[in-house]
Amino acid sequence: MSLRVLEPGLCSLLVDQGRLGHRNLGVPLGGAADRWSLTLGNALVGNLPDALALEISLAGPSLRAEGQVACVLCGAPFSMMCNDRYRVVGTTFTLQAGDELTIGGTTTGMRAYLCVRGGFTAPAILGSRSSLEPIRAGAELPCLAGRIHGRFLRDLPFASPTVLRVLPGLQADWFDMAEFLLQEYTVTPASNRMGLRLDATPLTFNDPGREMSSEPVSPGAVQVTRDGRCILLGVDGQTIGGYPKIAHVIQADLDAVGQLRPGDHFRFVRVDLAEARRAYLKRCADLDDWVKRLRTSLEGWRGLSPVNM
Amino acid sequence: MPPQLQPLGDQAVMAYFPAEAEALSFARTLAASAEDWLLEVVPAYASVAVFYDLASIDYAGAAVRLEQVAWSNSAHKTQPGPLHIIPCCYELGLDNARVAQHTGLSPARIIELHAGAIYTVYALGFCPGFPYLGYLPAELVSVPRLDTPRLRLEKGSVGLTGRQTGIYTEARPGGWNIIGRTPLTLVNVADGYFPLRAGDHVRFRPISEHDFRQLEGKRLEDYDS
Repeated sequence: MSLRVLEPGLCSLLVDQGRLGHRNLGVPLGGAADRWSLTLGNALVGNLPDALALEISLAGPSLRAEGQVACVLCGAPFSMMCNDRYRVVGTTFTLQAGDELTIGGTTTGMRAYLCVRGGFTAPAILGSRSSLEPIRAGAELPCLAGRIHGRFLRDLPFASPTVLRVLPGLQADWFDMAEFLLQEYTVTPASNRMGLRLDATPLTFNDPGREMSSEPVSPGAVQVTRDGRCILLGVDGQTIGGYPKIAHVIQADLDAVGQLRPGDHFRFVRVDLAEARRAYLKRCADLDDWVKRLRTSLEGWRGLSPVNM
Repeated sequence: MPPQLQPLGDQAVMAYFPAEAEALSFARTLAASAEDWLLEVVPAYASVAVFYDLASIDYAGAAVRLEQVAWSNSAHKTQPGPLHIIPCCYELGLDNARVAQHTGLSPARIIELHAGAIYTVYALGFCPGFPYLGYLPAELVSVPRLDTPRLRLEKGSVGLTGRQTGIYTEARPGGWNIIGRTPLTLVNVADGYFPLRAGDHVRFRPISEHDFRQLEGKRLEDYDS
């Protein structure tokens, strides 16, 4: 069973929860830019959180089902048609052999996840099935055959973030934090999974000649380049960097970073480590709650138990 | 000396050591430990990022454990990493004239110096498997990066800048001064092939263009044994 790629879309990538444990080799974390949406999408079709799904960015692909496939699209509210019928983000559906699924664009947000029951199949590389390259036209995306009743998530609004919470970066004292926090930032088109280039009034270096040696960095780091511009590192961001970091987005807000699109405006707001941890634990608990509710409702159906990848 | 600990966001404890060797030794000891909150250990030069599971420990808790590990680790020495010989064709360099101009050395002397030193892999990064090697002999230090990075450097390009030299393990844009090229494959992500590790040592062996063509595409393990 498989989905055939008719049009690949802007940047459609097979992803799971990422390649943890290999940054010492220079291999980025990778995986879904919005792990929350991936996890919910997988739960909707009865998968474990780490099942491989197709990440759609800004402009989606066209795919043809080679057989019966149980699907859901979860994340930003992309428009989507199956043959001539509209399908809605967050509601499961079954594709029949020959059906063409066309995922369009979205008015808000950046990414969504096409999850299929059983997950897509791909070889594991360094403990993850996330691909190293986006899908191409003509490619075949192997998956399991399956069907599913209409299931959907209520009360799950989608909104682009307007505020990202940060901790001070390791070189925060190179800059004026007030100047950084007062500004509004705009995501520029020169942004991708590696990082978002932000537009704002260039930041002032306290000592423009100051240098540092390269050191480990991670997703969420806000680096400042020589010209005072900010780069917010994404999930595919490099593992080591030599730019000073003024701030670091907290883990609870990293999925929000994955939903920022060119043209979006937002601000940074400063929190402390205790607040960051509270926010993280709450987010984990909330996600757990959703997954449990979905799983419970799923187990009520005969023959439809969670699928282990 | 105990490391200085600081938070890398809410993801990791950054440990800064007085010297590179201490950081590498600490990273190795820690990576071999079985701390259940420990996610990843990433060394780079004199710093080590220790990624922790925020659900099972907080920053302060992780920092206390790391101080204990650093204290007990300072007592014993770790084994030095293996030495890899990496062939390098200096005729395939792109910026040898520029390096000669900045250093005032002849191209032959540059090769002699670059291939005469034993380097330590201080970090892998930039792209998968890219070894940051240090430190260059004093005469080769301080050649600035190119003003405009090249859009594509071929796989195997050997470059230098500041006190560092390194190898572009995959084709990438880059601003380092390229003084040679190795024919060897030093990384294959899909196969999980990463023969160089932080703490290993590297020495370059000058080879001719003819030898370069003969060796092109071979893996390090088929040459370095």
